[in-house]
Amino acid sequence: MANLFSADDMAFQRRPHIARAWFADLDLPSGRWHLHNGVGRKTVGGVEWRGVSDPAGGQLVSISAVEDPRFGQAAKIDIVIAGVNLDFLRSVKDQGRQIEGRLADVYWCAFDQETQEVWPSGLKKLFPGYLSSPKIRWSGIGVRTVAFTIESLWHSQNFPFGGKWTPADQQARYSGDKGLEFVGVKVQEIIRGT
Amino acid sequence: MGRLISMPNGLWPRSMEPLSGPRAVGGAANTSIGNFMQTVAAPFGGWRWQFVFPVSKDAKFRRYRGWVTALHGGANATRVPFGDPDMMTLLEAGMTVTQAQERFGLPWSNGETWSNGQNWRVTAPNVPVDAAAERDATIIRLADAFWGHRLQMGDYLGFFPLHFGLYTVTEERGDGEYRIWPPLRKALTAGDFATLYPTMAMRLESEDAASAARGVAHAEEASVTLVEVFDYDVRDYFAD
Repeated sequence: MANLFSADDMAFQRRPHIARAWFADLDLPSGRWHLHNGVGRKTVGGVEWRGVSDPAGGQLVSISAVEDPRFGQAAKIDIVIAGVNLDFLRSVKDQGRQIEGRLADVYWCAFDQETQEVWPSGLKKLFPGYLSSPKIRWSGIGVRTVAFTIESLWHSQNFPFGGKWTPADQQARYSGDKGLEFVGVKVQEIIRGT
Repeated sequence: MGRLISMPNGLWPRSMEPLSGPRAVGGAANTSIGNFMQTVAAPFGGWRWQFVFPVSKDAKFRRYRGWVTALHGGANATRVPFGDPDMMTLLEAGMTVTQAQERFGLPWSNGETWSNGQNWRVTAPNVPVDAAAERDATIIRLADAFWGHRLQMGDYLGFFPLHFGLYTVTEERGDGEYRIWPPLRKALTAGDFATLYPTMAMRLESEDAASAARGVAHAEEASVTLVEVFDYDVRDYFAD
């Protein structure tokens, strides 16, 4: 179960139709949670994962676009849980500190649409991640959502090689070089007659 | 907490329509410059049906509104007996009955009816399952009895005892082996039977998924949108 996509996997993904789901392995204070973004329970890789969407096709949980965790990219996934009850909000408040920094791995997997069988390559680990501290959002009297972010291990490595094209970075590279302070500045030359 | 209730006797929908279900979660499509379309969907399917109940009044409407209220916007689940109007005939199902027997049913062996004057209804026989199958499996085998080897694409079937689920045949593989959709909600054992009268557990999709409008003379047509409750969820959440 390699995490990289092999040439065969890439060929598979060129198909006209792909059935896929995201999986999250969350190490919460209340225990390990195995969740996927579909409906129902599904055993993949020897573990039973619980679906977190509601059966109408709407989502109780929204997952933001997943970024490619390459170097220089602060790859993260924002997860918003809606429709939560009072107990859950309380537990988030009580355990917010403990949740922060716990392991949260995100996986991807393709399936056969008809039989719901897992594709030959199994689960693909997106990145080893950590949970950020949860945020509770109130809007109006009825809506309560809990949002948290899964940060990748390389989240803190979000800096460009060799610095940016800014005056500060240029000064760091070549001390005393003021050249970039004039880049993009509108220069107005006033010639006064004597 | 949650409980599983039965549909009141005599309450039948006028029309039913399958709607797109949970496969729409995170669905997407990519189009290339050459107009090649790649579709993306969630793999996990489930039933979602809209039932329309006919114009009714008096006892029928009382039963309907009671049933809808008892569902509490999805908090309770209901058994939905799936009477397939397009089911194979009894003859095709391997039974030889006269037209009168099919229409009026059969009395007890001593020639008597039930106390309300009604006979037993004639229904298609049950067929034993030929091979056990895991939960989530999509291939099933039925014994060679009655209609066991005669199912074709689109036939609805279910299993018992204690198995909630509606399955439709999507492929005939010969010798009583069939591919079904959706995948089995509960494992099949060798002692199970297949039936042409499946029962599914369903619940209201949301608080506003049912209507019960009452006019001056009678109640108007009412529509109800129900979603499937998987067999294991029935046991976990609706069996109190």
